[in-house]
Amino acid sequence: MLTDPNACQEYNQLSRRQFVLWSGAATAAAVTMPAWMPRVVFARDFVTRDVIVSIFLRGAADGLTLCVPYGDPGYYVNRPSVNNASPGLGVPPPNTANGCTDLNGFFGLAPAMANLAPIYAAGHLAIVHATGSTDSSRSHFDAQKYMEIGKPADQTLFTGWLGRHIASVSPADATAAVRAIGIGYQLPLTLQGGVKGVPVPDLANYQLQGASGTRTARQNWLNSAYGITQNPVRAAATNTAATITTMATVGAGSYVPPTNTFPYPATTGTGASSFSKALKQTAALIRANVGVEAVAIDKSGWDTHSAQGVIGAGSMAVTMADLANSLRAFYEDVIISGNKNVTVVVMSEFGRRVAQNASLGTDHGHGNCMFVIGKKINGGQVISNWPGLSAGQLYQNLDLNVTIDFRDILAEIVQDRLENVNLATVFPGYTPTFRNIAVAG
Amino acid sequence: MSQIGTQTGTSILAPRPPAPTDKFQLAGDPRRARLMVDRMTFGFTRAELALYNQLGFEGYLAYHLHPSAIDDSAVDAYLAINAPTLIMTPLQLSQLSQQSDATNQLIRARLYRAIFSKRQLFERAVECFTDHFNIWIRDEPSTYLKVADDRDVVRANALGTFPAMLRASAHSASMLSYLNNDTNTAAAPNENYARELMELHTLSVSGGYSQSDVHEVARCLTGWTYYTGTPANAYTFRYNSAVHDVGQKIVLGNIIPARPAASGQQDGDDVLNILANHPSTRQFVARKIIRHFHMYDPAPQALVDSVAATYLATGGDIAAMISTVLRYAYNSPTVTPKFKRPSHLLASTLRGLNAIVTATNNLQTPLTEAGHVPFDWQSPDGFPDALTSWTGLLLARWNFGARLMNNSNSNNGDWWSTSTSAGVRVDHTTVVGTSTTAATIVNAINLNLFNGQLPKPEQTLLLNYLLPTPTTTTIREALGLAVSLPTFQWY
Repeated sequence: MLTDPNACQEYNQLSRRQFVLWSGAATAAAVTMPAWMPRVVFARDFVTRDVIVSIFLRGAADGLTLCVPYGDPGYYVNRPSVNNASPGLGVPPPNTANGCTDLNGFFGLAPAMANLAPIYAAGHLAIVHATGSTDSSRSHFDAQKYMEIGKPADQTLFTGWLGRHIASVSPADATAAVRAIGIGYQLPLTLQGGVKGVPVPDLANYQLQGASGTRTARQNWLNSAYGITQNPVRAAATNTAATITTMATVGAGSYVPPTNTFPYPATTGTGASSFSKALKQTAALIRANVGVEAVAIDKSGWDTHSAQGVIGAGSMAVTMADLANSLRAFYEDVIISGNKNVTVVVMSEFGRRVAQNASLGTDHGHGNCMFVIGKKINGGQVISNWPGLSAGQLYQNLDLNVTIDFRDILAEIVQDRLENVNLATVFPGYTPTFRNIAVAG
Repeated sequence: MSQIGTQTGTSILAPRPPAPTDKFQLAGDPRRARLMVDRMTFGFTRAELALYNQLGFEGYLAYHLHPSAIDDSAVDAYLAINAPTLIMTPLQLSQLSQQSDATNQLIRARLYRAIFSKRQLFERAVECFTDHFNIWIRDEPSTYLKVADDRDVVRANALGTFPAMLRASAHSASMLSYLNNDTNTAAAPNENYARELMELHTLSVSGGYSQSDVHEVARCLTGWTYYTGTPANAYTFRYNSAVHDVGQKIVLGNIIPARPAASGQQDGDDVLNILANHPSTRQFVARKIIRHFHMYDPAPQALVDSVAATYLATGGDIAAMISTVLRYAYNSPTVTPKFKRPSHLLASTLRGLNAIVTATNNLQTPLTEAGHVPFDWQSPDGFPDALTSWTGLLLARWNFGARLMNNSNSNNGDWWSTSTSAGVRVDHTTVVGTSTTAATIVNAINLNLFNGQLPKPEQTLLLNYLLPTPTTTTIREALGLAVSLPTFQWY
């Protein structure tokens, strides 16, 4: 590993100029050429630390549909098959009508999630089941808070696990202007308490508006004005100015993924997917090597109390397909074709009630599943201490039990993939049990 | 800032975000008048300040707490022409050929009223309870039914009593649909509305209910739905006895007796009475009003108790609770400002700059980029009202001023322009006069936007932007920068 960040930066800039020279572009083009374009190898690529993309499924995604425990007879007792004369919410076993895609003889992916199967087969997708927070809350907002702060039932902590990770590890790139981005309008709690973290709703549209002729003067003026105010606004202004510069370098708006990889779901036009757009822009960001280490993305639409629709054109099926297809595109684009060191983790605040309700939906539950993607992830397996879905096996006689604390998974990623051994800071008051989900180094 | 090995857990496990900006020392401070006007409106104006000075604090408060006595005919007349769906019945709304008209007109009317209504404190109360009883306007059929909810639940009760608003909300087709109570039946209760009714509308998540209470309240509310189709009462409340659970329920220790299905609607009425009269509800509503009108969490427990006592003494009178909060603020030795949320910043900007608004669609676009379009919050907790939720995305705030005061805009499809036919525009001479002297212009900005209380360093920055010789372009841009100043972000 190179140790002189200044040398790295010089090399970085030199490389970019050389690329322009080789491509025959005019000198002026060096300013506007987006950084996601391929260049010679950068110093940062020698860092073994992964970029983490943390995806939160807001609204309590139904893990019993995302990853179907078709081998558990209790599942079909509580969720009669969608193929029944009076259809239920049960996704049928593999190799039957509307059947799930088999993973290991017990679990399967819902049909709308089938495009994740090749990642699993390649050994780059691990699924953790019957996981989540051990807190009993079935409130979306408390449960999301506990998961984001990384400490169940705590009412005093106001920083996020990923924010504390950033704050407790030296930057992967000492020159990075921005270290963490939450795609959205508010910095998610997950990233609060970090350093150089900023919310960006649209990576392709992040610049100071108004007359271009006075833009620099006005930006400098704003920098002065906010330089004399207090935190957290002052730091936010510094991060904003740095992010404007960084996003101009990244050029996410002109990003073109490789043509030979799985396509992103449409990011414009009717039915456009904001999640696909967020991942596609994240791809440009990671490929640009600007030193961003963590990206947090939300995907909502999971609070399926009625008309859950797990197959075909059903409501949840559409949401799942968008999730799976966007992840598949991102995986092939960045992790395979781009060969970037990236770990993707997908979580939700809690699972849903095992028994379906009369509205063909599901109410708030407890245990759930997580998805983890990366080349250094011990994929191709469902990691679970499966508690069962039959009477007597359920949490409070209602829900899937939690047998693997979500922090076990996140802590192992933080230590082995994000090079941070300060787990007592990232997950205070908890001693994780590693589940061998990731390869160290 | 952070180095591995030097930072222990304690320093970044701080219990709360840093305290915001400096405190106002209120006693004998001329800034108190501006602060009180800012607390009771969507932004200080010279006209409001004059009224405050004329009436005094108590007189001004009383004036704003009786909105029906305030002439708002200009706003009413504008909306009658430009937002005709606001007065439609649910049936009429459901039969609109363009149902998006209802969505758009409601969003834009909300912004128009925030800027121009003379019933400013009433509009601030509407904002508070719109968030409290949040309904996502993109959720069918609330895309049009929220119009009726806004009118008949929130606006009808915003300065009335909380129990009345709670009951109205529980009978709102928009709310019952949004939280799935329209599919809550005896066969298998749907708990969504029952849970949020206690967690978000009344008791709060720590208010002392259990999963069993959620289940029992859901049973009580089975059959609470709304009529559909095309009868005159379509999309209004309906109690459907056929799907009501007739058994006995126990809610928070209270026995709700088994009743015949025909009189089973009483179950839900009992639940609402239990919740409206619960001590946890008084505390929770008190905290919500304090947070909206005065300060971020955590509020002093003594203040919370005093507002909760007002609730108890007045049967949940919202105007009385707001009065308790504002009197506390008025009499406080120091007050810590709040950071304006984006729609608040937009309203205060356009109020302060005497903006002319002739097409309200242009009000919505900047808030799309800031993530604060009214009613466009998906989950039932409503837009957050915490400092760290809104300090991250400063760029969208800076762009309000940048675009509004961009002197090179023609009517080119940008949000705003200098064209006299533009939907939103500012005649800068109404703020700074016709002077072309930098110092005079800065003084005018200071007076009209900050009541002459802009800190000196920020005055100097404005002055330097205008020197040596102000031009129309730099004057307009300076106004755009003035509303981007740190001081303008707080109230």
